Amino acid sequence: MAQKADRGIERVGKRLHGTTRNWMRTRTLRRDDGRYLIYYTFTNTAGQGSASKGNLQKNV
Amino acid sequence: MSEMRWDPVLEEWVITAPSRQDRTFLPPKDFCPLCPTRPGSEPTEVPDSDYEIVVFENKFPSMRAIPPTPAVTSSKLYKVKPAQGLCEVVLYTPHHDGSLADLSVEEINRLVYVWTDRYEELGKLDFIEYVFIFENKGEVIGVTIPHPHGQIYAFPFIPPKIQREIESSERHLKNTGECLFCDVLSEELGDGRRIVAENAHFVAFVPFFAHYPYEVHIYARQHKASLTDLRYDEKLDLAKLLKTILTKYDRLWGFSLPYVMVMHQKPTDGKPYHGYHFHIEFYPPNRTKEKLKYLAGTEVGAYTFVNDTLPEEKAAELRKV
Repeated sequence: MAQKADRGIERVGKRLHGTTRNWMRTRTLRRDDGRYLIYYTFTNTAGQGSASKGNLQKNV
Repeated sequence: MSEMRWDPVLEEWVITAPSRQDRTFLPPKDFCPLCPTRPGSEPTEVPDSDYEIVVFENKFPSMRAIPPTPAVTSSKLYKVKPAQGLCEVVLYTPHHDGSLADLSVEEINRLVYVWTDRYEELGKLDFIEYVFIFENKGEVIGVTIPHPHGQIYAFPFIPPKIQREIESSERHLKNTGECLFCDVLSEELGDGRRIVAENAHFVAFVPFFAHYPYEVHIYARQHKASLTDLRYDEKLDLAKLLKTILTKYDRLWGFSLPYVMVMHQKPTDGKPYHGYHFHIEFYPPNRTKEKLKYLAGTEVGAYTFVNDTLPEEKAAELRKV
């Protein structure tokens, strides 16, 4: 049903909560039919909260 | 095939989108197109095997960034434009069962950040004048896929209801020097009978002028025009109050209450809107546990709502649960 997605584009994270710890990151994919899809992930560089998405911490 | 057709009588745009007739309608229970793609299973709309929050372009949009050529041509009276805009789907959670009410405050808070990001990003596009964030919940509202999700329509024009709010609030500002919405909130807080819940930065109430029995509006206490104006502590308070109201709705009769939720923010066309004030409106269709309010003759034909209940009584019911 879904279209095959390519590797996509990483967008620079946005800092949340006015501190340096919390970030929202996006990863955008473009499908074969031209539609985009954006994954939003949230990470805490202090190791708290949701840092479950692999290698996000090294990117911030 | 889709286009915008101008209604010269009501002076508003109507979007035709016949391709949406083919959209997914109540898919089988063992396959949800909005769940993550499980290893070895049929691909869904989301290729990854897990996610937190996902936004994607609707597969059956009524507007596109590169719109198709209209099926008909304009006349002097009947204007026609390509339906240039964007329609997005926002997946709140990878978990199929449940609803926005079942998310934690932290998860709703993250969603507030995603809504803010989409408002900013879509609002930057030169062909977008209004970013409309909303959720239709429940089969009786017409939801075709039960997985918890909302939608965003990025319009190339300011929708009529928002335009009407802008005009009334600008008039009020000009006549009194005050924000209309701030004054409504002040009136509600002063009376107190229709307040449902509140915290440091937001207030939820059944408005004096409610069109629906269990209609609830959430206003920012401070004069803020959009999500982008909210500080982190205000966003968190919004998430908390959303959680409170959604929980009350579900406790009311012991089932997950259907509703339409809409966010009203200032347009993104770059003009100043000093009198505009961010707020959220909920429209549950139920007038009792078993009965629904249908839009009928007076509402559809005359746009005059008849509310069969007293807002003061409905607010008291919601306060208790």
